[in-house]
Amino acid sequence: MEYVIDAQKIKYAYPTLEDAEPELALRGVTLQVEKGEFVAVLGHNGSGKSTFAKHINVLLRAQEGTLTVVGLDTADEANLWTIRSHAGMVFQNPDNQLVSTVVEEDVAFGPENLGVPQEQLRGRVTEALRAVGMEGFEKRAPHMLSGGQKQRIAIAGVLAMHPDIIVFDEPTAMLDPKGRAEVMETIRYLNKEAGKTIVLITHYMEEAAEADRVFVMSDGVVTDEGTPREVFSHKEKLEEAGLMPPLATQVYYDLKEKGLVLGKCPVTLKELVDELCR
Amino acid sequence: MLKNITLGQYFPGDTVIHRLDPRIKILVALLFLVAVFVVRTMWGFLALTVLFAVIIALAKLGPVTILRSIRPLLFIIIFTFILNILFYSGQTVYWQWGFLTISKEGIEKAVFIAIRLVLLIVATSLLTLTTSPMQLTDGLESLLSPLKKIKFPVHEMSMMMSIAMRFIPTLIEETDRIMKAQTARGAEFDSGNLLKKAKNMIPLLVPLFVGAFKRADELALAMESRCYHGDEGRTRMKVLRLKRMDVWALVLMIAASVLFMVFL
Amino acid sequence: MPLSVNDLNYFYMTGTPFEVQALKDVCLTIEDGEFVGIIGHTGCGKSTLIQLMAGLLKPASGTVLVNGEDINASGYDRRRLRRTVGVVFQYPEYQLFEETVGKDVAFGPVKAGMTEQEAEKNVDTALELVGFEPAKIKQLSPFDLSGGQKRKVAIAGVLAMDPQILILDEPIAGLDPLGREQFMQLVKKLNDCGVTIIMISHNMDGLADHASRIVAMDHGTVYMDGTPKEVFADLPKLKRAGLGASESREAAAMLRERGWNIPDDIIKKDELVAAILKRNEDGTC
Repeated sequence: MEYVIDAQKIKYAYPTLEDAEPELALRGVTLQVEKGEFVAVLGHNGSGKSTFAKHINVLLRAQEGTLTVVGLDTADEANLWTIRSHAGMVFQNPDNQLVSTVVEEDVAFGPENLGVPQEQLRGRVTEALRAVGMEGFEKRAPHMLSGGQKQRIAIAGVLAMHPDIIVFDEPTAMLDPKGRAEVMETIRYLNKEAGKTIVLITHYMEEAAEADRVFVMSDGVVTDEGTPREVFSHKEKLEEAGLMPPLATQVYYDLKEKGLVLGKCPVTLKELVDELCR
Repeated sequence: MLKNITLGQYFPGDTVIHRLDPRIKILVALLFLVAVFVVRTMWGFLALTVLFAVIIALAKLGPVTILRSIRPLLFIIIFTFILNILFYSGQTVYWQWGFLTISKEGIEKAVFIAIRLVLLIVATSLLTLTTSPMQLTDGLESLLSPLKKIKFPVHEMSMMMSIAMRFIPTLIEETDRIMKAQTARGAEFDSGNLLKKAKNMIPLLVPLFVGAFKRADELALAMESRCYHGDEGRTRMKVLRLKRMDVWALVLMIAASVLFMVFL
Repeated sequence: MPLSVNDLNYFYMTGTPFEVQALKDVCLTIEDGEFVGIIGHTGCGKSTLIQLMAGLLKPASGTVLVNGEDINASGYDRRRLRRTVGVVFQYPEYQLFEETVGKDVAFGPVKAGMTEQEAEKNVDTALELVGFEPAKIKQLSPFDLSGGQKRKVAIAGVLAMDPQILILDEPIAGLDPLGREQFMQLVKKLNDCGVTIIMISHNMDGLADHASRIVAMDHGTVYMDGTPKEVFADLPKLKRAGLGASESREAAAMLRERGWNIPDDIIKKDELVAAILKRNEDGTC
């Protein structure tokens, strides 16, 4: 089994201004992701899920425990840029991660930083924009685009660096339903068609339902993991983590309470309907 | 909904002038500025005007666009024009009242300076109207790159300029939003005397700055995560390359300007 | 205090080639105590509409009447309007600016002309409403709070003006499930106390549970208007405007497609569960 992300009991506390006792944001996170997997990390605001995400890209460094990304130890300063080029990251606010006033120049920013030879840059930009369905927008100004489009440009910017892993830190939290659908469609494509390993940090259950595996974080530790079906069926654990299962699962439990037991626990509406019409 | 504001005064187009290398355009614009100051006769001004008119026509800008770029500075032009007429003490006096005099030389001087100012504005507008802010930054970075040898942070400066341009529309939108939110809470931004007005701005300025710092923080993280570590080892997708057209344009413009400066 | 808009028109970028008509002849009357959800995709004019309702924009033509008075008429007391109509914008936490939470929440009440004691009392009530202990939080700096707490303080700042009409623009964006639920409960509580609620939201489930009326906007016009049951019943019409309904309604529609005789007015989870059980018992559904 090849783990592209392997976190062992990592701990992290944000620096505090005074000499106050620093509060641990991560209190020993152990989590492994296989190559080509699509995993979701669920948790309420303040659960430490975004702090963990920043470790994969070495924007933060674990103070205790070990984390290897694509087999490289994140504690080793010499691995920094190699890890960042292998593990890209897309952030929540689309406005605060685009650097250029022209779409194509923004997408080129990452590969330019990597020192990709000039004659290959144009090709990388074209390819990345095609992958996110934004070809034809090369010359546009990002501030004229919708939230979903901006977020896809940000994804293209990461993609153009040819990473193996892409970490999405609540990429849809600031988008409208249309933008959310666009971004989820892109993530699906990147995982299924382009073979990228995906780590999706989210608090939307419907998004997590699409993952291969789900981790639930609460109070700086992983409290549950498994397939979406397994995790969503642990109703108490979810509630303890300040989360609620998706509607389909809720309906399943309500029916069960009233004496109607369906075959398997559904995680999407379609599964619920399939189960009911069996 | 202030999204559609254009940055600077760039007038998008695809003409010969638009396609010229930004470095050439910056150099030629500088040359024009010098020429406007050196030329001493009406014939010289006429020659420059004709030259600019040809460029305006080639860039398909239209007289209205040019006039619009003069408008914000019209007050200064008229102001200096009147000052020059009234305060310049020449030989041939037409009218005098106390220290105010209107003389032949005064009028001539006033007209000259007014023409110079207008031509100056037109020359710079020709550059900014036909060159996108991004190209301007690239051009400046390239022209200033020799300064890197004396450790002048050329790349950092141009990076800062382009990030500033990227965030201007975002911050304008944010300003609009915060103003509306505070107005709904009863804030007033346009009443009272100067001191009161300044105080009234606090509910706008504090959130705006707090927001800008947060943005800066997030942007820095995003840039780091995309492997930005300064100029070292960085390649560029768009490298400025002089085309034959650029060289011709430069040579032609140098010739014309020198000719005007020497003979007119 | 009923609020009505009549033949409202509004344009952006007037006089430029980019001119767009954001609202076209919009007419709408909202009665006291209603909970109106406004839905529509981005750019449909819903944000423009609420800003006109709150007197933050001036209409190109048409009138906005609060309690029968034209708020854009010369001589209309704007201060009273600010007290009557409260607005919570998207990401309200970004409007905090004072040194302490207490001062920030008091900003609106003081501007609206309340006495110090009155303002103080309202600040405490508002902070309690959003779930704080006033004595504990008032002296803290708003910038030391967590994101969720900041948002609550910002909302308290609007509630402290004791508005009879509360306008909210997608107030739950970015909140986690628990935060969303808490927030909807707060809005529901205000509505139960008689505050008229006008809320823009993409959260159809929240609206299905709590709203008394839904207005769908499309291309600057009122596209649908009715109770949640009426509006969500016509799923095809919603889809044509790029909108959806609550998940329970979507599930019911999918079951109907599979041949179930399930009614079109199921919009809440409990209704869906009840209908499924009924069918299971007598097979009639």
